[in-house]
Amino acid sequence: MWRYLIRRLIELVPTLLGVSIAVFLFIHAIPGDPARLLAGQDATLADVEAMRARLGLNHSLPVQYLYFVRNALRGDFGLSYRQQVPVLEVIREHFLPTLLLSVSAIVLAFVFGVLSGVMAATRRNSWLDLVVTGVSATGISIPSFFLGILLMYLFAVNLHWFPVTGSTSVRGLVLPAVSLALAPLATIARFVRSSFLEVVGEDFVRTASAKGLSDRTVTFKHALRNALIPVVTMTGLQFGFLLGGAVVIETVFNYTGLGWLLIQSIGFRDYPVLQVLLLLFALEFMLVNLLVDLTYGALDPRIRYG
Amino acid sequence: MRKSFILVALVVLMSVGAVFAAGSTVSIAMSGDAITLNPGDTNGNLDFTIERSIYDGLVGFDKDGKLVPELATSWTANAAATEFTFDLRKGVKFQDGTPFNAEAVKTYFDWVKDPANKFKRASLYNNIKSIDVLSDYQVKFTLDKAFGAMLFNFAHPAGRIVSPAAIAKYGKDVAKHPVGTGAYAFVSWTPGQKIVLKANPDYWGGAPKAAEEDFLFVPNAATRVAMLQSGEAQFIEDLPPELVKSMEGNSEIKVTAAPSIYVRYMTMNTQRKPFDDQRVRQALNYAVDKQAVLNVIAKGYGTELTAPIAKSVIGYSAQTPYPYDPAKAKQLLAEAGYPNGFTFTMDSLNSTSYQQLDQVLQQMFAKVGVTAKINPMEGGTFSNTAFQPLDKSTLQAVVLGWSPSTGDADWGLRPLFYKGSWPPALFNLAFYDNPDVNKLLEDGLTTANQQIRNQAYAAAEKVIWDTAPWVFLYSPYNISGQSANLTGVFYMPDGTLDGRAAALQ
Repeated sequence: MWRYLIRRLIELVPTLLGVSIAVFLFIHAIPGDPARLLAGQDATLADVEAMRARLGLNHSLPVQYLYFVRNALRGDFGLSYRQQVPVLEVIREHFLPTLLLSVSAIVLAFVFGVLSGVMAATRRNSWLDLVVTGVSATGISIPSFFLGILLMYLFAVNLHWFPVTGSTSVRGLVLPAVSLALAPLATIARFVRSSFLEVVGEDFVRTASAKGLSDRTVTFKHALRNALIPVVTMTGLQFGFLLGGAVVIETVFNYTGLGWLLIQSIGFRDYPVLQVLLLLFALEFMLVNLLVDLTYGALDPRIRYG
Repeated sequence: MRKSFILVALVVLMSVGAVFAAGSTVSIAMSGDAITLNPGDTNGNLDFTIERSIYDGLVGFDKDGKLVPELATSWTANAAATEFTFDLRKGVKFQDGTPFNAEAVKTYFDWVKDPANKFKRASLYNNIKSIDVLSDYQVKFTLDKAFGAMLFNFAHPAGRIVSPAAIAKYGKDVAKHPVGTGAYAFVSWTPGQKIVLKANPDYWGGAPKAAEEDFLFVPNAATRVAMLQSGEAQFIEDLPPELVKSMEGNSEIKVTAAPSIYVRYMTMNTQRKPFDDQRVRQALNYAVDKQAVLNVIAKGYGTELTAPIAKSVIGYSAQTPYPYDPAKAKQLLAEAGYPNGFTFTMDSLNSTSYQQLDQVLQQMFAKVGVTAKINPMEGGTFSNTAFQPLDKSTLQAVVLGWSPSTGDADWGLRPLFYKGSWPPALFNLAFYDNPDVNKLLEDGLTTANQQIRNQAYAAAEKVIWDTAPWVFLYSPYNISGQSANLTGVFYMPDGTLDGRAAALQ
């Protein structure tokens, strides 16, 4: 198990290096000149050149990349072009809000998704099943930003239960988290329902019932546990996406997380921030995938790591 | 797995507490995020707005764009427009207790123009050859050559003066530790969220009424409106015309609008066919129903252009508008050799308001047989396309806007119509080159005598208007929303806010 973990972690290094080159080329390929954008449309040519020198953009691309790698290995990721503050500091400020938002959303989605999926499956074709299937079809189809705006107008503007903007308080977290959670919740519910129905027909479930175990034990210990494997994969993927910042929802609720930072940084061609931000997103995905692989073992003892 | 998720969520949830400020706090929701609070390194209206509350300049502008004294009580310029002398206000202190005097003025401007600092606004002051402290309360600037618009460079928001003690202590970090002589002193800055200021009871203009002023950063316009409706903000900046309707039916909030110095236009590349022919350019001016554009795009919040600069810019001179006359447009096109019209690419920015404007223009041009292909671009991409020299430029026509941050005709005309301002040097995207205009714009800078300057600019505006390098469109109002019980926060014509007198009734 530990050897497996260490091997997987070491394997991340070449992947990250490859991603860093791809990301570097990608962000420099976006048309637009950060020096000009920062100096402003009414800046003189001399102002723009001074800005270019200030940003260190007067070197060739390969040289700029090597500088980046060298400094990064020393833990120095440079200054944000726009704010003139170390990149890691900028990202740290915006990481916690996104972590908070994505963890809240995924917990909501997972808990309520699994519960409603199981309820629908165990009472198949009842009115409850119909409601869950109907609501989850809506949840998958409704764009999160639209749901966000609806919730905002109802609960913040009209009822004053929650603030309009997200970042300032825990109460402010509720609306964006709910808006974000609905789609994965619906997907998880449908996944659990179909996966559960498949598993319930298997021999080992019939055996468990035949042994005289209670319905509850059969449902949660035997059937659900086996039905969860594909659900965990799916939840992991969704979580990876959420950690990358919910660009649209963060904008709607003025929630200053990583998605919000991403948009701001693209607008100003803030290369140092973009570089680290995109690397971070890649790293998060890799780590979540690793976590998912480890969870399989916990759910299904037949899976071994070596 | 689930357990640990919940645990993490709970721990993180509990570690973030809600803090709500009470008392007379005025919250102003801004359309973006602040970058710096160092006036000399600022080029965004949003930063200038916050700096307005913290700092004062030697001179400034009032609500109508008129030049008024601030830290200087009077001033004189020599006839050659090379020497500017200011008498300073006595008994003023910076928020850190440092006295304001001639030495402080010298320290600030020497610092801003120092090439080693590479400040964004150095170019406004790098024509200053020397600064002499004549007495504690008198200071003289000597320029390297005549520059008649210099007073407006001092009135520019970048000319607001930072405490010399703060410059010595923080250096470039003044950007995050601003100290001025203004109505409100800096308290804190939460990046991406807000900047908090508190009243400066010793303000020379009288103690401020609100105890605290918060600037909140809310880029999404609909969110700003929602914050006003829910009472989280008392003033919202930049209310798009299409959202004005959503403010109706609530007596606690209201829409406010004020004329701006901003102009909207379509610039045409005068060096290339078909826009090298003046008749073609005039034809497109006749083809546009400006009143309809105003009604549809600005929902009536604006005025038709009557010069290449807006009314409240100093040096404005009214011209005769091109009436809406499609028949005349067709006739001019036929005379120029385009009886069946032509097709051109209309570059533009990709924001909603620009794209709506593009479409309205496209339809109006179609009525006189001219086909416009709209090419909307993201800001960074556009700037890359725009700042190319003529031989590399792909520009035919661009729908654009300009706001002269000095409030003076020189910066409203020279970057846009002077031969020396062709890209990549500046923003003359029409590649306009008219010897008379070049000469008049130079004349405007050789004296500080405002009457002579105004004559030069009036003559230049007439030539520009008649030769039509632009389709002259409109000057939009600055539109804002506010609580009905708030007074003292308003838009300046340059698009910044003045919130020094904010008060809740």
